[in-house]
Amino acid sequence: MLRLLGACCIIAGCGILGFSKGEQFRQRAEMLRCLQNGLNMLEADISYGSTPLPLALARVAEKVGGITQVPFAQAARLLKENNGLTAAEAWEEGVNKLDAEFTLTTEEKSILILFGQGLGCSAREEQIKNITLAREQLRMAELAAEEARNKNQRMWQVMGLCTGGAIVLMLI
Amino acid sequence: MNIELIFQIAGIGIITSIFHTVLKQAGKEEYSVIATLAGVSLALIVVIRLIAELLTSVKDVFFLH
Amino acid sequence: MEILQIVGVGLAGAVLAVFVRERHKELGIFVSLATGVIIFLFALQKAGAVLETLVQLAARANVNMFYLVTVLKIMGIAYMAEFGAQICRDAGEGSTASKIEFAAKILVMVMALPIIVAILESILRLIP
Repeated sequence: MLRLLGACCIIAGCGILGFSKGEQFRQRAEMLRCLQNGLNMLEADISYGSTPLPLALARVAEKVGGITQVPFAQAARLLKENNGLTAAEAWEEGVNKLDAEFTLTTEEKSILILFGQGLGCSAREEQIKNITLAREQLRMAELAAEEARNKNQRMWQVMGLCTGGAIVLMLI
Repeated sequence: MNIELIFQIAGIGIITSIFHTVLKQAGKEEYSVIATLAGVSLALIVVIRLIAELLTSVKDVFFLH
Repeated sequence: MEILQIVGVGLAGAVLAVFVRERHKELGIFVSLATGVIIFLFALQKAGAVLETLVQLAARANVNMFYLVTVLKIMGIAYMAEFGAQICRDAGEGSTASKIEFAAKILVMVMALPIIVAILESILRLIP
C-alpha cells in the first residue's frame, strides 16, 4: 500500500515537472498576445486621447494584466519620477525587468527595444506607425510561439509522466 | 523470482514506445533513437539477469557439469 | 492450484507480449522471453524434485550412475534447445532456430556416444 502511494507520488512529481516545462511554452504565446493587446491600447490612447506618454503607459499597465504589466508599469514609473530618462531608456528598463521575470528570446527583446527607441520622440502619426510595426512583428513572433507550443507542450507533459513511470518501474 | 518482472519489462516496453512516438512527433528524431536504445538496454539488463538464473537452474537440475 | 497460477502468468505474459510487440518488436521479444523463463523456472523446481527421486531409486536399483546422468544431461540439452529455438522462431529468426536445433542434435550425439559404444561392446562380447 505504501509502495503504491510512493509510486503515485513519484509519477505525480515528475508529471508536474513536465507540465511546468510545457507551461513555459503556453505562457510565451500568451505573453506575446497580451503585449499586442497592450500596444493596441497604447495606440488608442495616443491617437484618440492624446494622453502624455507616462500617463498612457500607466493606464495600459492597469488594464492589461499579469506579467505583461511589467514593462508598461516600470516605464511609466521611471518616466514619472526621473525626469532625466528618455522614453526609450525607460522602456528599455521595463523590458529588462520583464526579461528578468520571464526569459524573452533575443528576437522578442530586440523587437521591444526597437519599438522603445521610437517612443515619444516623434509626431503622433509616426508613433502610430511605430506601434503598428511592433504589433506586426509581435504577431509573427506569436505565430512562431504558437507553433512551438503545439509541438513542445504535449511532448514535455507526456515525457514528464513517462519519466515518472519509468523511475517507478525501475524501483519495483 | 516473481511475476512482477513481466509487468516491469512490459511497462518499460510501453513507455519506450511512447517516448519514441512523442519525440518523433515533436521532430527530435535523434533523441527518440537514444531513448529507444536506453529502454532496450534497461529491459536487456532485467532479461539477462533472468536468463542467468534460468541457466544456473538448468545446470543444477540436469547435472550439466 | 499451481497450474492456475502458471496459466494465469502465461496468459498475462502472452497478452502483454502481443501488445508490446506491436509497438516495438525487440521489447516484445523480451516480454515473451521473460514470460517463458519465469514459467520454465517454476516448472524446473518441480522437475528437480522428481529427478532427484529418480536418481535415488536408480541408485538403490544398482543402475550405473554414469548412464543415468548422461540421460538426464541429454534431456536438459533437449529442453534448452527447444526453448531457445522457439524464442528465435517467435522473433522471426527461423534459420537461427534451426541452427540451434542442429547444434543440440550434435551435442546429444556426442553425449550418447559412450553409451552406444558400451552397448555395442556388450553385444560384441555376447557374440563369440
